[in-house]
Amino acid sequence: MSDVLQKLMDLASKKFNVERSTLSAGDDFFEKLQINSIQALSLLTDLEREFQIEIPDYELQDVKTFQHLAELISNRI
Amino acid sequence: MTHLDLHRFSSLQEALHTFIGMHGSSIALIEADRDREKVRMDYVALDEITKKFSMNLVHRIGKNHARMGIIMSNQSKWITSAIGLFYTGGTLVPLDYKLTPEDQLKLIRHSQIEALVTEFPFWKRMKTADTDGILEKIHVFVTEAPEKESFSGKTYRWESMDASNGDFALIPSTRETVACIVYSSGTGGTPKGCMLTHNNYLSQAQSLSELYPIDQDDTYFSFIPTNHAIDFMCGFLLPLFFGSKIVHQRTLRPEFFASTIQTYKISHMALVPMLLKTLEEKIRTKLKELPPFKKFITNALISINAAVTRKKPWYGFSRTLLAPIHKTFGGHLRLIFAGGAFVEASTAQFFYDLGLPVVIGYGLTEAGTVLTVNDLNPFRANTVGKPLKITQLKINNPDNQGIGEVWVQGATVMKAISMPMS
Repeated sequence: MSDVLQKLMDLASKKFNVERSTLSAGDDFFEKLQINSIQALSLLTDLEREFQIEIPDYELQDVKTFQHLAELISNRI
Repeated sequence: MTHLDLHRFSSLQEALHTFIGMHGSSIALIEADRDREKVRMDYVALDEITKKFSMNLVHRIGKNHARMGIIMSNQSKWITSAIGLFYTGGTLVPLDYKLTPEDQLKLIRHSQIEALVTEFPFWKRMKTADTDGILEKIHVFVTEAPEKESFSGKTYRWESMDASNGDFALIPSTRETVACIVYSSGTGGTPKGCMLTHNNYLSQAQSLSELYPIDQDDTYFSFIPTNHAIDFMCGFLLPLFFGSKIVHQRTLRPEFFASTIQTYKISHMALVPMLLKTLEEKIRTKLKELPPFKKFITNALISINAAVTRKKPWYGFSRTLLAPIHKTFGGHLRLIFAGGAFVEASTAQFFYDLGLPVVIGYGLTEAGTVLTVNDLNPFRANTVGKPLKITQLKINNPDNQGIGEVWVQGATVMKAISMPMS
């Protein structure tokens, strides 16, 4: 789980050009990365490729924090 | 281009039944999930499944004229369920699948629906939040449930249709009958149900079809959900009236957007401004990344295209001149409908200069899809266009800058409003 979380935050910081050290598990990634729902879905696609999983769009509906997103991914690996 | 005459119909179901019956083996619906095609259905199969759903609905509920909600993402069963309901003379309540389950349940209670069609994950989420058991009291048709899942009481697997009870009968409605109750938060923020009649929809479809006729060979890309007023009109009713194809993409991810447009040779699509802006940024980034000489040439070609098409679009010319850009859009894209929020003039102009006209509309749920729409004679990016022929608009008590409340009268204005939610 912590591996997934680290990889997820690495990927998000790189994709949206946000300093990695400013991100933490409980952050609202919409706010922290300053992204909209379409960009969040795009991040989800990159994560799927990274972890070789598939997550339907609707599963992102109530997800706001890196922690929660990492849990979602971990449940699929 | 086919001329559409909807004046002879008294209801949506009559029009849909007639047009669906006319197009035989032409493809009606395609559903893709990412790069996988899940459904391909011709008009014969559409006719069959919609009738089967209507018979199943009457069999389960025990009557015609029911009020039914749909909570679904972009997919073909949204359309087949809606048509099946209309065939029974029923009233449709399209609900937003992106709402929280608590809000969905509130609207289910408020709208007093007797039946609901929803996807398995949404049903599961609502079940967990359903403290007063409203889902047990209504008939629920659940799509795509896992094999191991069993249903009881008034909850059924959508795919297990029981149409053995009698023959198909098309139940008529008058033009003044309510076809849909559409929830809108409006500018006031309090959700209210707008009761839109068959006449509202048929009038809107007639006027839009005269402005922007579709051809039987055209393909509409349904990218925004069908509960959205624009998609309901442009991505459901109009393509089926014209006998053209509708392509649904289950995911809203930009990564699968281009591949769907290319694969299915999309000619028309509707986008909300946020998606249009995302697309613009992606294209601008790609143009910036071109090597200097190529960038210079491309920008010059875009300027030539903008100058040549200033008075009206010239699709063949734009597609030839800007072939690599048009190839990204599959080479067949003719119109992008945009609405639902403010469309930046610079964005609309950017696409028009590429040879991809953006049709900007202004409307509100209370008056169907659009009240005004810009035409392409010539294209103007900074306007929402003129009122439709069937609509009269006035700015009431304008201030010295011409700003005031918009008053509207016309055939698309709703019949009534259901009581606001407390």
